[in-house]
Amino acid sequence: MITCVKFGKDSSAAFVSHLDLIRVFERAMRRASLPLSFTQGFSPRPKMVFAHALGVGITSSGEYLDVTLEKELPSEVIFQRLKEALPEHFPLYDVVNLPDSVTPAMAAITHASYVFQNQEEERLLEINFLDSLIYTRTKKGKVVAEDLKPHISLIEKTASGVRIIARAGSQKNVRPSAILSALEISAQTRIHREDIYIEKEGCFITPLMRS
Amino acid sequence: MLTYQDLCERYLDKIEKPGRYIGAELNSVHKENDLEKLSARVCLAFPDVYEVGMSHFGLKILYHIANKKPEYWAERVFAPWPDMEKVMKEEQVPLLTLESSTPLKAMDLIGFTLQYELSYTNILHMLRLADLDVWRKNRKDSDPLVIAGGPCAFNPEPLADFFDAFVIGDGEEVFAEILDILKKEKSKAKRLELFSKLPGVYLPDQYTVLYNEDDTIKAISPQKRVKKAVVKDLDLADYPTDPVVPYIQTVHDRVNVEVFRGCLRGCRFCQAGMIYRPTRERSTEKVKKLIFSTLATTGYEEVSLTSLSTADYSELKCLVPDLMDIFEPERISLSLPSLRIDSFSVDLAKEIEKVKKTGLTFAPEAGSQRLRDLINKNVTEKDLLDTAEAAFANGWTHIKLYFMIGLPTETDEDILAIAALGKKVREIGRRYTKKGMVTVSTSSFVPKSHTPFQWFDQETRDELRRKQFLLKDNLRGPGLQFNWSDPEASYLEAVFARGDRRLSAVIAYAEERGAFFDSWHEFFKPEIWEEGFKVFDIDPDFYATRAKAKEEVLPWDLIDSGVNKHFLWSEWQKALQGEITQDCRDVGCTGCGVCRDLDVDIVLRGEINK
Repeated sequence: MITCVKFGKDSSAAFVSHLDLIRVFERAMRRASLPLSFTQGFSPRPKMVFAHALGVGITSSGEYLDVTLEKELPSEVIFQRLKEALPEHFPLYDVVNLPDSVTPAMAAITHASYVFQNQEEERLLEINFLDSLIYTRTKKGKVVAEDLKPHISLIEKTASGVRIIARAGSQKNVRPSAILSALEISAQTRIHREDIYIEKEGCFITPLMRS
Repeated sequence: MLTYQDLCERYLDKIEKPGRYIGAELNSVHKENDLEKLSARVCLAFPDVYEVGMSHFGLKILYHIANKKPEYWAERVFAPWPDMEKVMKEEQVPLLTLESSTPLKAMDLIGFTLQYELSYTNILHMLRLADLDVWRKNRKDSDPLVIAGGPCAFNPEPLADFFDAFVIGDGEEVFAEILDILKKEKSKAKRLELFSKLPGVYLPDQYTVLYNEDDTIKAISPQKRVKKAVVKDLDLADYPTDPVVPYIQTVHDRVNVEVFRGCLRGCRFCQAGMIYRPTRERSTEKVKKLIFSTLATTGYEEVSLTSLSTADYSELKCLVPDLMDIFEPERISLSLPSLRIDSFSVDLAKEIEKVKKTGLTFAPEAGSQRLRDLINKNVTEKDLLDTAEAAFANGWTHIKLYFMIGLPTETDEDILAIAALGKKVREIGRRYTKKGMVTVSTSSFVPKSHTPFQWFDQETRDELRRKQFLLKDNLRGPGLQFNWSDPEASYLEAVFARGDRRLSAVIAYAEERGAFFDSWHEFFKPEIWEEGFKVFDIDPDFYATRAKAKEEVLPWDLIDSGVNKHFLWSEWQKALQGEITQDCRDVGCTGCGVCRDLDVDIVLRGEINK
């Protein structure tokens, strides 16, 4: 059985890096007396995989991790215990038990939704009218240019900022900082990840809905 | 005023590890909403970066002692890394506490821990960032009291002009009383007056030092010595079971339970072995209770049983298997720092590696039997080779050996003996596995105050370097690795370890000119120090490489560690004769004086491990 956990990172938790997050959850699960299962080898690690790394400084209300517990427990029990054990600024939203056969969240996800908040919202919204959005960076000493536009599915104004849904995951990944860099926006920007999605038959589902 | 969080958000691309400044870690204590209930606010300062400071357990003990009472709030501060310091300066933000981003100036008291001499410039640097004058006499009555404790407080003299007070010895009980005084008294002068009545508290401005023409000390007045504070029964001492759990990886990030304080083996170079006497063990019941309650509140995956020589804990033989029975299924690893060189230690290592394979490090300290006898390290070559044999036979492929270079009376022969020993251990390893590896690590010996070697003239840097190269040339070959430390840093350490008040000016000068993080190789700038000594016409050799006479008044003579100077001198003489002194637990009192002087007893809970 795979247990999928949906959580968030707010306030100062945004500064907890991806590597550190693994320790945060391992320790929270230990405090919650959840029976972790471990990898083999000289230095066993808990079987726990995060769906999609989040950049340092970005808050989120849609993070996921798949954890394999040694013993099956009702999802409500896991939810309750984990909720009590997680540190401040790591809200817990949902826990769902899934069959072993599901595709791991890390491999399944295809899109992520971000909200950008800064003084240059108009310029972000203008992406809608651009034919291309060229992002250039140096990779191994070579300048590489890439058009991000085809990988952006949606740009819209919301009450809290500009929402952009773009490709995410192992196939194609658009980092929010790449969008800012392509627009040459250097103003201080708050970025919030709303959720992560799996595109399935033309619809977006979340990793909790895998079957 | 900007907070650390504001700064991290604003300068995200400029701050390498914002996790250092989060301050809202699990179990951190926040009393922002109860400010009106507080009668004293203090800040515990560690003069190094977060990852180093958060590995220090003393800080967590004091944090707990203050914060368990609703009327006190202790926050933390560490030396900001240069990237953070830069943006703080740009935004004109003074040094802030971690928990509430409050300027340090608003505290009643700032307490620094003195763990190593090369952190002194960081203390001054932090005070300046906090917008406080580094010199005690220039600080206002409204400024916080600035005090310090920790091992280096046993020779506080180089820092005498910066601090209002030093706490010498075990801090648990004194700190609680200091807090009560802060609550009772609001004037700085009154507070200090009450501090001075506490055990272990030293107020440097109440003492005057007179010098002879040859720069040695003529007299320290008054002659009243400051006796170290001592906790008699560790079972009754406060100990946190809900320590702050950092988000970022720190040097030691685990449950730490101190199984005993003090060590009676009597290694003559070891300051900790002299200043923390006598041995006081915690009971196994208490140790277990502390471990399990801490695991429950932190979720740590590793537990360390700490002390100066954990294999000497009299109940270890029973404790380790008891713990492993519970830890193994939970995948919690146990670590035992400072293993002895004997088969008992290999058995222990074998027991604890069931969860996580760890390396093995042994510290013969010196290469030849003559020198090991001189430093009173009661270990023979046979002990080491038998231990190595047992380790390789049990599947270890890599052993680390730790030595010091520059010990008293050391000759090239003693250096070559290190190489020979390293090679012998490798040969044993090679009999078991082709991958057999030995790492020889050396550091330069720094004579410390309150030890039998406090009179000894440290070897010159050139001589230390020559010996390092000699060793390096003789330690070549497959399966041999050699590490060494920078003699330049050890020299400076030696100057301050046995320095006096006149050095305050040099420390302030060096800090003003950019010396900080001196213990970090990439920041260490010996040229600034050289310049500083010249400006104040101070010869650093006077402190480091000059042998001191028996009758000489030493700067730290006013600090009473409980171990008397006669004992130290006789140990120094016995060292030069190659005579050893045995552990008083085995042979009875050897006359160091600590039990009688401090009215404290050795506390052992079980049989001694053989």
